Formats: sequence, C-alpha cells, structure tokens
Amino acid sequence: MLLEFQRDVAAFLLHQAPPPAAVGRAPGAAIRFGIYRNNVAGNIAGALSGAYPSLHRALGDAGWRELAAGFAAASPPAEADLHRYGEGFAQHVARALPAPPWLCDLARLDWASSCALHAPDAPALTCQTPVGAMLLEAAPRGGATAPVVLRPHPSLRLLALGHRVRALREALLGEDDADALAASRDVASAGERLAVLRGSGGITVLALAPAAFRLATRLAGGLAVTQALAGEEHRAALKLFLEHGFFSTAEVA
Amino acid sequence: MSGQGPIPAVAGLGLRFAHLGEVIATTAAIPFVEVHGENHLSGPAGVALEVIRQDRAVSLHCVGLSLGSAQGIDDSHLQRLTELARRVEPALVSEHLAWNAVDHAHLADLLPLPLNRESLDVVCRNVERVQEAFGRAILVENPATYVQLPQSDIPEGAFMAELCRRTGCGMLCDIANIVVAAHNHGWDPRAHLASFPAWAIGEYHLAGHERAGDLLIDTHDRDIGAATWALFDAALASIGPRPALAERDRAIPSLAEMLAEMALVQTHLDRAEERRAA
Repeated sequence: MLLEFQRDVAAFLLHQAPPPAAVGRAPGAAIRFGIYRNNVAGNIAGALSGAYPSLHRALGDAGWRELAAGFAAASPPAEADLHRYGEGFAQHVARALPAPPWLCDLARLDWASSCALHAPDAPALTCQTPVGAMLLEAAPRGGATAPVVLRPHPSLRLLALGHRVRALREALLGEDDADALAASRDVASAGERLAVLRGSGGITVLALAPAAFRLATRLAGGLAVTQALAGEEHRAALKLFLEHGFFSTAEVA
Repeated sequence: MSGQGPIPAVAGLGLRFAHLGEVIATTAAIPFVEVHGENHLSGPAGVALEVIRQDRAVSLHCVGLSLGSAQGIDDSHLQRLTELARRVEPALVSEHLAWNAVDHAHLADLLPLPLNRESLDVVCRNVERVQEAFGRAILVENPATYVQLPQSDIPEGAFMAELCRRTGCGMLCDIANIVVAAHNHGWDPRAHLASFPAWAIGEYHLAGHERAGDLLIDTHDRDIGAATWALFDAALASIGPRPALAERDRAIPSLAEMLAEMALVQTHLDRAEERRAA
C-alpha cells in the first residue's frame, strides 16, 4: 500500500498526474498537495540553476522552471545529492530551444564546471613533483623511458565545442549585460577546445590549441606518455598540463 | 557508538554555503553549527566543513535519507553521509519523518507519510539501518505538513513515541513545524507539542513561515513568528532546554543577522534555565 501511494505521488509530482486517489478525496487536498509539487519544481529548478548558472542567466527566469520541469519529468534526480543532478540537461535544452545554437555548448561548459567543482579530491602531478619534473625532462627525447600512463585528475573535463562560449560564460557570470552582449557577438565565429578543472583557486577554464587538446585527450584516455609525446610542441603542452594539475598520478603501464 | 558527545542546551548556527568563508574566519562564539549533510558531500563546501570542524561542534541535519521510503534506504547515499560523518565527527545526526525517494527517483522535498502501522514498520526498519551505518542514535524531526492523509490512523505524537521506543532514536522537535501543521490541520499546537515523547527530544528547531490564504507554508525565509516563539517558550518550560537553532534556507541574511538570531534563541534558553533554577 505504501509503495503504491509513493508511486502515485511521484507521478503527481513529476508527470502532472492527478493527485493520489486517497489524497484527492480529502477536502481541499488537491490544492494542499499542490504545495509539494510546487516545492519539488522549485527545488529542481534551483538545483539545475546551480549546475547551469550561465545558461540560467542567458535564458532568464521566464521559462526556466518549465524547462527544468520538462527535464525532471524525463530524467528525475536519481539521488539525494542534487549537486550531481543535471547530466543531459544540455541535450534537453538543445531539443527544447533549438535557437540560438550556442546554448547547448554554454550548457555543456556549465555542466563540466559543475562536475569539476564537485569531483573527488586528489593530489596533482605538477612540475614541482619529482615524477612531473622527470616527465618534463624526458619529453624532448620522445617521452619517459618506461611506458608511463598518467591518471587524469578527477576534476578534469576536456570539451570540444562548436561555439566560442568561454568568454560569454565569464561575462554572464559577471552579470554585466554589456560584456555579455559583446561576447555573444563573437560566440559563433569559431569553435574552441577547453580544459576545465578544479585547482586550489577554484575552477579553471583553459583554451587549448588543437594539438594540445589532442595530446591531453590521448593522455587522459590512457595512452602511454612515450606513445603520445612527439617534439617540442608537445613538451610545451605537457608543461602546461603539469602547471595546471591536469593529472594526479603517473603509473608504469 | 562513536562520534563527539552531545551538544549542551545552547543555541547554534544554521550554517549555509554563503557564510562558510566568514565562519572559518570569524572569532565570534558559535557553540555549534548545523549543516545539511547533502550540501557538504563534495567540493569546496565539504573541505570547508572539515576546516570549521577543527574549532566547532557540528550537527549533521540530513534531508535526503528518505526514512519513509517503502523501498528502503539508498545504501550509496547512506555510505557517502557516513563517510562525511567519519570526517567531521558530528555531535548530532538528524533526519525527517518524511520520504522523498521511490523507484530510484529522488523527489527533492520532504513528502508526507501516512501514519499507520505499515509506515511505522517501514520507518523503524529504515531508522535502524541508518543508525547501524552511523554507529549511533539519530534524531528524527517532525515535519511541516499540508495534508492529512486518509490512510493515517496513528497520531503523529504516538507515531513518534513508538518510533523512538522501538529504535532508540531521539526526536528533533521542530517548533515551527508544529505551528504550521497545527494551523493547517486545526490542531491545538500546545496539545500537539505535549503529545510528543519529551523524554526523547534532543534538539529544537525554529524557523519563519509564510501565510498563503488559509494555509501556513514552512518557508525558512524570514524572521521567526510570534506564535513560534511562544510555543518555544512553552516547550522550554514543559520539556526543558535542549540545543536549538533558527533555520534559514532561502533569502539568507548576513552572517551578522544570523548570529543575532542565534543570540535571541540563546536568550530564550537562558530565561528558561533561570526559571527552572528559581
């Protein structure tokens, strides 16, 4: 009985079903039970706003709650930690709001930043650590002598976006409308490749050159340093990765 | 049982994300802070709580364990909370007499539970599971409610007393929730307060509420109302002082204002102690 009641309530809250039969018979109960629907909608919209702050800023409050409710109906939170809720919202936004086309990329960058913020902690492999210094020293010779594999920092996210949204996101989060407007004019000019990660100073979003992005992707995917590195250009990229803590450990494959 | 010992009957601070940095930096006397456990499972808020815990007692107030779920407790979520408890060694751990999860969907609110024999068995089973995982007794809070479910046939006070008796848990007595529920259901708030198991009450909560037509809504977004203060004083006289705090979840004021509210709660506790000593 209790399980059936709870399933009926979930349908009422998420899918606009009628109130559970037993509730509906009580005087004024449908209106009163609507308070819970309002609370759930507000809490889910708030959680998505926390994960997608620049998207919310770009779209404004009008329609945000409906957008969130539509997403929640299809993909309700799967756990009580709402900081981890929102995966797939970018695709939902793309389907619900086809224009402007850069909205989806803005959402992807928001989500990557949220995931980076809430990722588990781990030590960073830097130029100052013995292993990091050794890797950097060996890079011009084509990599380390042993087949070393780097484990990406849990917060690292690599994004290849079709629109230039990094500056727009910064402007939106700065809440300066003039800056945001100026950044939005540049947004469709080209794509960009980004690395998002959490450091001691908070979230960092770095623009990467195509070769550096490919290298980071290969290393994060588990390719041995000896196979991935080639030439001075890669050494500079590896130095950048180590300076920003892209990787947490180095292991002999 | 592990963890820090109980908090004395003092006022604490309901700590919110906006004030984490200030609370780390301040030298103001804050006997304990209470946080929503779910807000500190990861990220900077998790790190900040560990820093705060070095100087202050912590109470973990959970909102997502779903003690009333017919399908039981989410073990993964429970494990994350117990790991947090291992790191911050809270003096108190609490949850609500409510549910919010079914079929792997988390419904992001404290939903009403029919109070009957089946629910009592479910909640007892779930509380025992949670207490086993934490290795300690928890406090269970009476919720603000807007509907009386027809399937209910056990009064809330009797339900809570039986829950405490069967599981060994304590009760977090939310004074504002009594005011809201009593108004919404036509109960006498003092009689409702008296129906709870005084012997099990380990903490008080206070908060502001909003009037919406004929109903009161538990909003936690404004000052504590006169009816809630009056019922708090009545609770202090009849049940006795316990750790207490004012909750704010929306329209969060400055830390200075929240500390002033904490001081006001302490004033009520002090007066009650004076009356008891006289």
